[in-house]
Amino acid sequence: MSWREQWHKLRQLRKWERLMATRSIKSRTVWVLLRIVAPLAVFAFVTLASVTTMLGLAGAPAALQAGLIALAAFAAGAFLLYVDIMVVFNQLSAQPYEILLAAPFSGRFVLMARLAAAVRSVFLYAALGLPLAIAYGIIQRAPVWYYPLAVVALILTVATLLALATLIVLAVLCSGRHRITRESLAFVSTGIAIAVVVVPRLIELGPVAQQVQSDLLGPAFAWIPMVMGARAIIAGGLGQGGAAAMPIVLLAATCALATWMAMFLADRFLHDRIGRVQEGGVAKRGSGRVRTSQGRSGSLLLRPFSPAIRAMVRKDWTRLRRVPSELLGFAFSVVYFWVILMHPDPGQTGALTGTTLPWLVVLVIFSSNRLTLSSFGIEREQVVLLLSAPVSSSEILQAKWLYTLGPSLLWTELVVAVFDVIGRTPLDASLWTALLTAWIVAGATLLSLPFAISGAAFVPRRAAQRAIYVKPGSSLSLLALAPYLALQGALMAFSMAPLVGGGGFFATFLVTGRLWHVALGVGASLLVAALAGSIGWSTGSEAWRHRSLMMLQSGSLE
Amino acid sequence: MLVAQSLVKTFNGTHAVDHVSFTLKEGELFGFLGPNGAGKTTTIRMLTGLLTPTSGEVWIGPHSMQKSPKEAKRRLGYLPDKPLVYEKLTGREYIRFMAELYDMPDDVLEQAERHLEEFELKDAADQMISGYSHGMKQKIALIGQLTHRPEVLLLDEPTVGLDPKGARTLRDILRGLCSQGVTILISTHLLPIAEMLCDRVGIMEKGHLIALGTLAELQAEYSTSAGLEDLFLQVTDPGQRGGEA
Ligand SMILES: Nc1ncnc2c1ncn2[C@@H]1O[C@H](COP(=O)(O)OP(=O)(O)O)[C@@H](O)[C@H]1O
Ligand SMILES: [Mg+2]
Repeated sequence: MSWREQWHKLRQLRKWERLMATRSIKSRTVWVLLRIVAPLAVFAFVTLASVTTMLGLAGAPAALQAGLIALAAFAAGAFLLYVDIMVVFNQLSAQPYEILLAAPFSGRFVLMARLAAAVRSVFLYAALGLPLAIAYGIIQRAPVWYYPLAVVALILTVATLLALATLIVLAVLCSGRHRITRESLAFVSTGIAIAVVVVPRLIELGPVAQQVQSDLLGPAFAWIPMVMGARAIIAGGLGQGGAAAMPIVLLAATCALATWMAMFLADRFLHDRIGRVQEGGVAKRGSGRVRTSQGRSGSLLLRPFSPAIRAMVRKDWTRLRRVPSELLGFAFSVVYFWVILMHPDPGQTGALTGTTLPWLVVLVIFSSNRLTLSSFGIEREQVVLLLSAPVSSSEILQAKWLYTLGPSLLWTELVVAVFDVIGRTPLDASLWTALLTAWIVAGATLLSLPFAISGAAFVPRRAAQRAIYVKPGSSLSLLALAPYLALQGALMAFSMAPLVGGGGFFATFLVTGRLWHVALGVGASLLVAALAGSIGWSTGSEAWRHRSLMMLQSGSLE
Repeated sequence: MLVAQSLVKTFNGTHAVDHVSFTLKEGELFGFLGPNGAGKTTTIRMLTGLLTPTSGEVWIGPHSMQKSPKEAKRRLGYLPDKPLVYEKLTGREYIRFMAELYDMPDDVLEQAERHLEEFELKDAADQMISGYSHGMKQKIALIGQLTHRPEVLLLDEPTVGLDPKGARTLRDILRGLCSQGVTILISTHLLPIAEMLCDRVGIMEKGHLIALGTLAELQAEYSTSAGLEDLFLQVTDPGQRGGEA
């Protein structure tokens, strides 16, 4: 088949995918929320955080401003690379690839067909970097050509990261002879993403530079795509055309090379190897008896709940032990947070962490959403099993919530405790911080319920595949969640940023003696968590009941 | 023990089930027969409370499925036509989950071990269910449904996917349950099984229950000495049906 014919086929395929995606979303309001309002809210939040920080640095030395650009580019880029790897990995191992493989398509065509769906959502991230770049241009009084150059640099960076992610996943897929489980592929891919974040840190481990500029913009980092992009933007902002062109050319070359290599690998190996991706998960040989429930994990958290709820949560946790890759998001965010924290903050202004923390918040929501999402995913047809048992939908929802809450709480509290130790936070302040964190995490996980039920959350691949049955009435209250998302992020940044700088939100209070800090923090978090709780709860249970019913009544369970 | 009271289910204006009534006594084994699309699955789903009847009521013992669903469901076991299991659990974990879901004491697990042995699942019981064949999934799902000692057991085409030996074991287990007083409704295509096993049969066609009774009663009604298979064909084929509605 000629290149042109294949391209035509690819476009047809996209048309069908789009058709299925629109069919699967039953309510226009939800569509508007998921496709427009939620992204806009995230965009507004990130814009607010980055622009205010950048404008706040207007009078600061140029090195500090450049350092901010470099750090933001690095943090965002590392996060993006991780997301890309996950998206590419999911796309390549998504189920109906047999159809593509059986048809007379080349490996590179299959690759493109699979990636086409991912490209658009990935490029949305480029837009998130734009406000920072524009603010930088304004405070540097950059020439007019800087702005198109910044756009080109951003798009090229995102494209290069996607190409690299594709290459990484393909390389993992194509190396070795043994059977590959989805699990191992996920672990290796995440390991590589973590390495990309950590290795530069280790290279720099010598005497930590006090100047931000000599840190990320030094030669040790010149090979990292997002740093290339940052260099182009920084030079462009200062009006140095020649210095800006160089990294752009480098980026374009890297992107082209990675794409070419990915195509080559796909043509040579994809057909052979993609069939080897198997469902993972191995059960250890058991004791040979059906064990009783005594001494099972998480008893403390589960004790106040009904036996049916406990059974459902334990069932899901057992499953989670078989597919630990679903926890990789948490692992990545710990490493990520660590790298950002270890970054020298010359002025102790908190400005640098202030810019990158929004990304951490997105990451947290991302990880716990993923968990909730998959926990509903397992109950597709099995919901009949639960509904024919004496279990109410509210109990099912509580079980799903607890399932996500357990690991999320464990992880967040652990991270907070470690930072308390590093920052030598006094004991009473640490306790308060732990309580507040628990409260916020409970709210955030509750919030993920309606999103998971309506099936979209923030995982692009799944958004298109799961039918969304939420009545227009209840999706209106879903709309109310959009500002919450921004608020949640702001709150976390607000309460965590002092934690990073001075060792705990309450520690700042102890030092500064500003009582309103505490009052504001506690008040806001109570309000937000209660709001999230009630909204998550009501829309969640309604949507869930409705979805189960729709599945039965429409015969989609057949 | 189980009463279906004038059950009606309409999907988009067409009657999938139309005024179906029957009563099952304690310890009875009832065969629910009918061609594809007759409305057996829909009726069973109404009996389990999964579908709300358009009109009519379901009673499990003294409890109405519509008025006190929790009480009714607690007494009910349901094996759908497609085995519903969690792929990432092992067979034993699945059984334990089912027992905990109904908050049963630990000694039910002893009984489950016996069933595992009878179905020759002992070796596979610690492997993940994703590796099971259709028949094995069917067996483990049935064992799971027995852990909470249901008083009424509803089986939708349980013999599909079972090997001859498994079908035999199933028969033995069902017989044993009946003698302990469990009421069983089994929908099936396999008429020899129904003939061998069931105390009474009901034959569905196009949403109507067109025949109900013991084999002898039906033979008398249609004045034939034929086996169930011929009787079934005679009853469900409109050309040969004499006079009744
Ligand atoms: N959810 C549904 N929506 C619309 N029609 C349905 C649905 N479920 C079943 N039906 C229809 O009801 C009739 C009875 O189906 P079913 O109970 O599955 O038959 P059986 O189990 O006897 O083969 C069929 O004509 C089927 O098309
Ligand atoms: Mg059926």
